[in-house]
Amino acid sequence: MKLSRRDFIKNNAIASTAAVAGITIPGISVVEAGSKTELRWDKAACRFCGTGCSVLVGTHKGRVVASQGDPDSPVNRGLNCIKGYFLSKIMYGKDRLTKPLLRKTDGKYDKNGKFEEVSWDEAFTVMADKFKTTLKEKGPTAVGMFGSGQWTVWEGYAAAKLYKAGFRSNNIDPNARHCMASAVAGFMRTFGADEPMGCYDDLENADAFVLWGPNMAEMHPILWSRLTDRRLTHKGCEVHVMSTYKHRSFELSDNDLIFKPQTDLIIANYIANYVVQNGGVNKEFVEKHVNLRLGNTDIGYGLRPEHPLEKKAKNNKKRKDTVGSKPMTFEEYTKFLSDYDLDSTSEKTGVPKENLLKLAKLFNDPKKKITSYWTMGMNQHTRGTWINNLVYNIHLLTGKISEPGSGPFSLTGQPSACGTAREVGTFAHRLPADLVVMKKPHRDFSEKVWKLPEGTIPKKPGFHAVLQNRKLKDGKLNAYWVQCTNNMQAAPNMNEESYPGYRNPKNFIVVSDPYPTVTAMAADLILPTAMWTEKEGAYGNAERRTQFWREQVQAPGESKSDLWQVMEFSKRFKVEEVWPADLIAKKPEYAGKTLYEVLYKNGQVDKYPTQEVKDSRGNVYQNHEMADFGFYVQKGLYEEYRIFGLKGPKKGHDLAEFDAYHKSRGLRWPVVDGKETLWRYREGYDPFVKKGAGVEFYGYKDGKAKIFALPYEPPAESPDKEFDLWLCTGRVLEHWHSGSMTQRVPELYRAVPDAKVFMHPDDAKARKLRRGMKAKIESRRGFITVNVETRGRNKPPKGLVFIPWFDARHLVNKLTLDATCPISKETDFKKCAIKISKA
Amino acid sequence: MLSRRDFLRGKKGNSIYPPWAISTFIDVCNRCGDCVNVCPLKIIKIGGGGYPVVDFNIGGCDFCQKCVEVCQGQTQALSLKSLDNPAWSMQLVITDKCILDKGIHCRSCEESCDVGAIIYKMKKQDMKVMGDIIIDNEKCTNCGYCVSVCPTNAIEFKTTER
Repeated sequence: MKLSRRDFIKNNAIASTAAVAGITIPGISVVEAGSKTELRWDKAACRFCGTGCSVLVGTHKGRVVASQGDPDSPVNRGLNCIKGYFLSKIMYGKDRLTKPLLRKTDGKYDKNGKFEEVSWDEAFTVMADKFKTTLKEKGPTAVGMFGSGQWTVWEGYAAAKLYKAGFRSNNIDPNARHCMASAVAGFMRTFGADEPMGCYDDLENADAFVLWGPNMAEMHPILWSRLTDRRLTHKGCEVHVMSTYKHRSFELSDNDLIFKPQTDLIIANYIANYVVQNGGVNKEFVEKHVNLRLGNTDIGYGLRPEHPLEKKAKNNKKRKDTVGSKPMTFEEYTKFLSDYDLDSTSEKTGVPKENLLKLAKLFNDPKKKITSYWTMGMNQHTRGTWINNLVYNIHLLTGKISEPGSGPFSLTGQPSACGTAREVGTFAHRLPADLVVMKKPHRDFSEKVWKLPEGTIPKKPGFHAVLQNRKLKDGKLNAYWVQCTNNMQAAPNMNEESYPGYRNPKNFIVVSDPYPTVTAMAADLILPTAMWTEKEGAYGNAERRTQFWREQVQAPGESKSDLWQVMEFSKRFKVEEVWPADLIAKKPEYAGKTLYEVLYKNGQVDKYPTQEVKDSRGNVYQNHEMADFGFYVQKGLYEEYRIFGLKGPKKGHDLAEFDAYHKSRGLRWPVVDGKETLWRYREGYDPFVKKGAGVEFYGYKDGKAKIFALPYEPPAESPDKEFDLWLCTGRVLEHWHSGSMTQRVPELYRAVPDAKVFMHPDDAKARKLRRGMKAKIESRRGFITVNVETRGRNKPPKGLVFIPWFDARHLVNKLTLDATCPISKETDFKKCAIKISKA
Repeated sequence: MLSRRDFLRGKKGNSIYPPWAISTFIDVCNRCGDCVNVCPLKIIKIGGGGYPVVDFNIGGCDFCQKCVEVCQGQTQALSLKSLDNPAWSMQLVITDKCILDKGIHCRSCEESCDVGAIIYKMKKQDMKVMGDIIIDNEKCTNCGYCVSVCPTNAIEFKTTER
């Protein structure tokens, strides 16, 4: 780019003004010279991880040109990580999609045709035809959707409503299934209610932090800064770091615990055993607030039923057996734990005794306030629900829970895994505000709120993420819509399940995305999608904080938001085409109406007329959905959704009214009388706890949480003679998940252009490999070729390698196995067997 | 040191010639391009006036000496005799384009450095946990691997007197 001297001076002037104000302007070069250099600043939630940083977005002439950490944000306090610093560039990749693309031959849709630009009308006509044919021939279980923890709250809500109520199909599941389904299942099983009890304020109140696997230094850098601050300034503060390999978070570690894959189950039980044996149990707490349960074992690995491991397992055929448990006494529990002594634990886990003891003693100390953190290591686990339960056990035994500085806290990887996927309930089994489709009272309540005839919502859970790909491959799921996620790259076992599923001639696959991702390129119809601040949005972060932003800029070309797409598509269906006659007979006034009229123009969602969207300084913002549909869509959807929290059968999910969020830097639910809740289940903090109860786990009717006795069981696949190494997949600081955004930011691409295999130098040497050489990584399911890295940020022990999955050119999910936690249905992306040779 | 060519052109001396270049490189080199072709890492390219230059934006130098070897059949502008000396004697400088002082714990350069010449440390400053980069030019081999990975192009090598 050539700059005249005049432009150069002007740009420099802007930059220096910005520098004085502490503002960084990475996109400075796009600010045109000669124009007034006024930027309009407004707040938004960061597009990336579940931390939920607030950023200030600077727009100029309809383009986001700058971003900076929001100094008024209680989460990030003006800080940004490197991804957040370059946030303003994610929408401006050169290959941004601007028109719908349909595979065609000779002017007609053809599964094997080439992508051609089509109008939205043609796109929706072909798509509606495919959905209608499928519904008619095979019924609601043959249509499905894969959604996202990156959907805004109202996008997820509108999509879930279209599927569960409109198409009467529960086959809608979010990518959050790959991410934190085990945390959900764990929270639901132990506490009867989803999401953490604590919040980020624990970071400033804890005496010790225990990391059950997460590499917070890279994946949650802002929280890591806050944790580092506490560690450096609070006397006696300790950080204990567990992982299967050494990474950046170990730099701050006071106690390194490198364990053999899957043996975190043993460590958790060992700590519980130590606490029980050495007086660390808070007896009063346990007596008053906890029930003890012995969980069923031998529950399989979530593989296809014909897999030998599934045939062999005992409790994997029926859901009630898999999740089943029976009461047990404290004596029985003590006896159960006694197997997990120091000697055997050290031997089985590979962790030296002194390190195990140091961690156990920490939990045994009644004076220490301890916060546990975890992310994918515990969740992406064939016993993911179990390990979540086992960590809660320790916090419940010691009473270190639901108070400032103490508690188990699951970090999330997506900006609205909590806000949208979990709270709105876009899972195959869920409804908003912790309700589930399996329970009649929950369906009844939802139907009432949605003004639907009784029996509209099907009671059987739909296909979860991994099952969706299997059903696509088997030709049982035929009309399929993917929004806001890159599942071809993200889902396990791409060669055997995902790709054959998408390309199955029986299926019609639609992908909505701003960019031509691996997933989009495997689709039959691609819909260009407005992203991030090209629409009004809301995200909910890991600490239950709901944050809103206004539409800042117009999306390029004909791109439309996911919300617009879902609602506009619903206009194509008459109730008669999707509902049986007896159902319509219960609400004859719906006869002849479209799904759009039934679901969105229902007198509730369309209650708020169009209005000017204004900030406190008088800036006016566009809202394309409001303009197109003729009412304040986001507000209407949100206020309807809010009824579930305010009046639903599960208490403690209250949200504030719509406008409150546009004025604040987010609020942590339950919000009661305008006041947010920082620590749930404890009197004085949580308004739903009965007076005098002290602590009440009100997710369960008796107000008690459950401790589950669950043993160690081996992983689905372990290294053997031929495939002799463990493969662990994960992320890097510079790229976010599949890299569809960050790989298009030149600076981030430059910093980390390719995925590498991190391995121990001895393992490399034994295979005649050196750093920088190309290696062939092979599993039973496929192979990839990547460069070897024997130094750098990750230092695996001998026998294990690490490969990040952001890189579309090196798809590590060709290698992974689609084994899941049988309870949460979340894939174990952290363990499979591979071999490595010179490429 | 400023080359004669750069001096006459009024340029700052920021061209990096191939490793072990003699001080009169610009006068001796015949621009045959052999070193460009032989470099296994492809970091040598044709620069201004047809002279070979090293571009660390492409990658770093492994000091394999292939360029020096091939030059022996030519003008010996890359000298075998100087192999006892460092390939270059330049100072690694991190310019104010670096985003570390904005509270971004980037660490790309640190990670690329094999000899520990770039050290990252955390410090508390203005109530925030900030990163700090310390450069040890004694340890720095001028390999240049830190240049290409820097997201903001903040790393430069300044030529010093031999």
